[in-house]
Amino acid sequence: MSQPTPLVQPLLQQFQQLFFLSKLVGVLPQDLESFRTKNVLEKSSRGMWYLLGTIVAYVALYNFLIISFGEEDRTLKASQSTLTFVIGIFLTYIGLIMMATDQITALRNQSKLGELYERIQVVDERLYRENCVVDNSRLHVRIRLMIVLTFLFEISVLMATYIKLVDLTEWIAFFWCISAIPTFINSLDKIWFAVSLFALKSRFEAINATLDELVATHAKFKAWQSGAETESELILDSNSPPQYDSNLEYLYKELRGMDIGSAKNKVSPIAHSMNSFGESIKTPQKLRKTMVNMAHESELANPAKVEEKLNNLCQVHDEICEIGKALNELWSYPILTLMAYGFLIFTAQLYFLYCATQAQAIPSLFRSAKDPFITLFVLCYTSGKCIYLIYLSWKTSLASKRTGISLHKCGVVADDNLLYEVVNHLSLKLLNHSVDFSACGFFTLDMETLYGVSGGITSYLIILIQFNLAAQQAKDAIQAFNSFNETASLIGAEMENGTFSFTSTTLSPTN
Amino acid sequence: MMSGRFGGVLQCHLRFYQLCGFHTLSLPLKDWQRGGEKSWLLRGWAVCLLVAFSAVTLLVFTSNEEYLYQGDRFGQVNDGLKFCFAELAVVSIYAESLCRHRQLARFFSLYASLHHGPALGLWQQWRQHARYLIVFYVLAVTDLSLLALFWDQQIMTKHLLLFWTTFQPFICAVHLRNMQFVLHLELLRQQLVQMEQELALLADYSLFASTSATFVGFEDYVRRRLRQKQLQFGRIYEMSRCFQEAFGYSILFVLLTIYVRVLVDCYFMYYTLYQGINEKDYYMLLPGFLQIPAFIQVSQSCMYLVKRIAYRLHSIVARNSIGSSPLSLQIQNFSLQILHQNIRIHCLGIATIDGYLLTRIVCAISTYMVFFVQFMPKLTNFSN
Repeated sequence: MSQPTPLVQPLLQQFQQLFFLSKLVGVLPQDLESFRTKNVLEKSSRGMWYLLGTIVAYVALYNFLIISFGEEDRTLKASQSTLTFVIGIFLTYIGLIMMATDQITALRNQSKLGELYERIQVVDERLYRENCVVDNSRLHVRIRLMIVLTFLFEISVLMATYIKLVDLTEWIAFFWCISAIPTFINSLDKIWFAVSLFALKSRFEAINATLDELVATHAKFKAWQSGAETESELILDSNSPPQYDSNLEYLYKELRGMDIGSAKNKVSPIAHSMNSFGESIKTPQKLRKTMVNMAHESELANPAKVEEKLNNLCQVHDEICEIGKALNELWSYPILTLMAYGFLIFTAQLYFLYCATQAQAIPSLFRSAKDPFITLFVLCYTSGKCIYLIYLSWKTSLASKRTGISLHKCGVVADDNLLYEVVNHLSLKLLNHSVDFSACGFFTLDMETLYGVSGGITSYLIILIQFNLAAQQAKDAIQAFNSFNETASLIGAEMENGTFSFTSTTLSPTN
Repeated sequence: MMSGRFGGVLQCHLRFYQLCGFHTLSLPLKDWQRGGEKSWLLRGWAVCLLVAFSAVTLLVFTSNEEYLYQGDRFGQVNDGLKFCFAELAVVSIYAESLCRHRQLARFFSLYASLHHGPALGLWQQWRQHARYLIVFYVLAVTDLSLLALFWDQQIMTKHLLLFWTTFQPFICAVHLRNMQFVLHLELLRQQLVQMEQELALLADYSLFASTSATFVGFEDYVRRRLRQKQLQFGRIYEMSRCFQEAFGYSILFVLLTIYVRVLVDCYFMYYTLYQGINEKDYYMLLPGFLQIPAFIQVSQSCMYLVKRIAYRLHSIVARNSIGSSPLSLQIQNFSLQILHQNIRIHCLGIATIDGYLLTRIVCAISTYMVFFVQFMPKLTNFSN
């Protein structure tokens, strides 16, 4: 474990493409040179200025976009309900807020992010020493896939919008591609989080696999020792003959005094039970001795040695949990804004889709809602991002909880008093030390949240549609009333004569 | 040997699910590891059924005929929603029975390993699976009799005929899948009940031994029994995990489909009453209403039994439990194991299938009904 050549491949080696891309578009401020040479994330003031510059540029460009495309929105307020207008204004900016949160958080976490990956490196080395190797080599495929998916979604939404919904004859149409910037930056940032989380999950799984392997080899060892034919038979441990149970039942009846009448039950239950337990009372000591002789066969047969191993694995488990918490902490605000964005955009997009089907005008930045298929794409993209993060957090949390189960399997299979004590101790520790991901503590990132969110979206959608209907009806009623008044006044003017008819006819065009 | 253990009643019902394409392991369940030679045939059959269902959905959405309600846009969207969710459920059901047969096989192999004892007679088998059988047949009879009543009483319009002939197969598939969940959970529950009883027996016995008389080696005996129970509990937990993996997605979509269907039908019930239309198809949602509680009831009893097992475990008397006697250590270990291996039936983690879910569903349905009741006058005015 000496310094110059690390024992294990550093995790960040897999992140190269992602780092260069994020550096280019301004997602991460860290130093490019030190990453290229040493695979570490180091603080860099030049990177910081570059990132600040990109923020300013993006904000300026986005505002330019809003202003240049917002001209048609001016009429919107007059023609549509105030509700649609206000929702449009509010949601136009939430993408920008989300992007700014991501970038500013990246600035804030400049040095902490590097430390996080160093901690993972240390964990990897410790795992390696426990003969528990984590395979990082597939990670870059995952990263590439995510980047490709991001590009695919962004570009297809953009292209579809260009083809169907943007007037290409105007020169301003070119700037429509700015609208993709916030979501793209956000997706890149979330790929960092998702892949790091996935790496933690695979470390938990490696620990579980090591423990399970201990159990399996011990079971084999025991099978070999007791000369049982098949391994499965021993795992099942069906060494109790059927009459054994019936004896116990019989005993039970006797104890309960169910068949008091019968003379057979006068037999002292204790003497009887001693006989029935006689199933060759296997002396555990003898078994243990032979096991110690065969210590090289199964690690679990040597409690003192395995105690150390279990202790080490649990400590690594704790450390990974801590890293998970730190990771969650680093990305807590970005995730909160992402979830808020996801919820609002999902609701708004569906609401505007409804508006569009009713032939009402919608805010210009939500023009993708005019077409149901583009809407479907946008919704898949946004919800896919949110749901994948939630799903991954949930899975990681589950994997961390499974370690306790594997630990208990070890204890039960080994069946040794010393080991039971160790397992009990560690199991309590694991129970108290589980990792749960949350967004700033507002809600936990597990699948239960999806239930609440989807319920919220449908409720709000129905309420919004109701409001919209009511507003439309009110507008129709006012129009009907106005036209009625108009015709009435026209008729009234007809009925009178001279000057009045003249004024009414001059007035009506201006109305 | 395994088929003998499983008993004819269970085999018969599994055969029925095979016919529906939900159960892609060949029967009798003996070589579940390899799936058996007939499993290819079964999977092919499942694919055929999936294609047929999807073709029906495609027909409904593309045809100009009056498959969906045409009265107003809102009703049409609602009807479409019902079909969408039903199609999703059917896809998830068949995809799972095609891809997750390994987990299902593991479920049954674990069940076979736990379920030992002499082959039971027919009557005993009926008693063993009584809960499932009652639920299954009562719901099936309700469904069929309501269908017959509907056929008899209702004057058929073209829309009704088209809609019900296309939608009823989906309903059947979803309900039968729900019954399949109930069957598997019932098998799980039986194991838990057995374990609880055996632990109760041990507890009683240890109580007797500690108060009245004891003998040499008693503690060791109880300890060994407990260890065996621990191994068994581990296997039961593994069974529940296999269940979760084999059925996770379809639990979600089946519950969603039933929920959406009940909601939409409630809406149409109110609508027909409000408009005074002579259509009596709304009482067809009664079996749908009953499906969710049937599933929730069995899943909740499974989760409740785990608590009972922990209680029974701790009522085992371990003498000199102050020191680290091997027995008390074993009890602690088992107790911790139960804490870790907490059997929790859920649909992909989104919601635990328990009474609380039912409460939430009922609340949601009533809330949406209030919305719809508000909606109705506006919609009718609007369409006029």
